[in-house]
Amino acid sequence: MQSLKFYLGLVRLLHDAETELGLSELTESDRAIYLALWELSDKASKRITLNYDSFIREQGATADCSRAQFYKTLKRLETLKLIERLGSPRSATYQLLGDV
Amino acid sequence: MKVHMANLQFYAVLTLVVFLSFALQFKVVLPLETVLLPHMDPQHASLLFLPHGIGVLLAFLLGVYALPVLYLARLVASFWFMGGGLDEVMITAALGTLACFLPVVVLNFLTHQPWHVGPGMQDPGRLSLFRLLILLVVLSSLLNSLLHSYYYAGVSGPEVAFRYLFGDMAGSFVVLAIFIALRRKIASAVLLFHRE
Repeated sequence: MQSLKFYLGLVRLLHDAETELGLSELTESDRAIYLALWELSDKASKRITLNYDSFIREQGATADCSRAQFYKTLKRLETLKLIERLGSPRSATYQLLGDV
Repeated sequence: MKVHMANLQFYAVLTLVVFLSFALQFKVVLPLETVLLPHMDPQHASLLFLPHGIGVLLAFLLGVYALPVLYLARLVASFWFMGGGLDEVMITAALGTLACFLPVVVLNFLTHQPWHVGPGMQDPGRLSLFRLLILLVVLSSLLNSLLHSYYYAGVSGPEVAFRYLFGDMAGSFVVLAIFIALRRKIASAVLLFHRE
C-alpha cells in the first residue's frame, strides 16, 4: 500500500536525520529491546512482564544481547519515560508509555 | 480496485496538505512578514516559503508521483490566494513543481537509481538520506529562484532571485526542523496505523 510505504519512508528519513544530527538517545540494541517489548506487550493494556530469561526464550536465536545490556536498556527506557516499572523495584512488569 | 481507490485517496490527502501549506503561507506567514519586514516585491517572494519544504519532502519520498500532487495543489492555491492570469498561474505552478522534481533526477543519477523514483525510498548507498535531502533542498531552491527570476525578469529586479533562494531554503529547513521535532509522534502514529 502506497500510503504505508510513504509513512515508513518518512520515519526512516527522520531516524536518519536524528542520527546525523546527533539527537539519537537510543542505541541500536536499545531500539531492538524496545521493539521486542512492544511486540510482546499486551496490546490492550500495553503491559508486559519480562525478565532476561523470558526475553531470550521469546526472541530465540535472534536475541543478541547480554544480561547486563538488557537491564541497562530497561533502565534507560525508564529514564527516557518510554516505559514505567509497575509494583516493587524488583518487579519485572512494565507499562509502555506514550501513544504506542 | 480497492487498492487504486486507497492510493487515490492518499494522493488526494497529500494534495490537500500541500494546499493547506499554501494557506498557512498566504494567510499567516506572509502577512506577518509584510508587517515585520516590509518590502516592495510585486511577486510576494517570501523569505520563509514553507510550501517549498513540503514540496521537496514529497518529491524526495514519492519521486515522479509527486508531480501531479504538487502541480494540482500549486495551481489551485495560486488561483485561490494570488489571483493573476491563467497563463501566469499555470506557468509558475509548473516552474515550482519542476524545481522540486528535476533535482530528484540528479540525485537518482548520483545514487544509481531509476530516474523517476523517490530517493528517500531507496538505498542511498554510502550517502545518508538526510544529506541527500539537504542536497535536494539546495538544488531545488537554486533552480526555483533561477526559473522564477527568469520568468519575472521584466517585472522584478535581480534581488527577487535572492529572495526566492533564501525563502525556499529557509522554508525547507523550518519544515524539516518541525518534522524532526515531531519525529517521535510521527513514528508512534505510524506504529498505531500499522497495528490497526
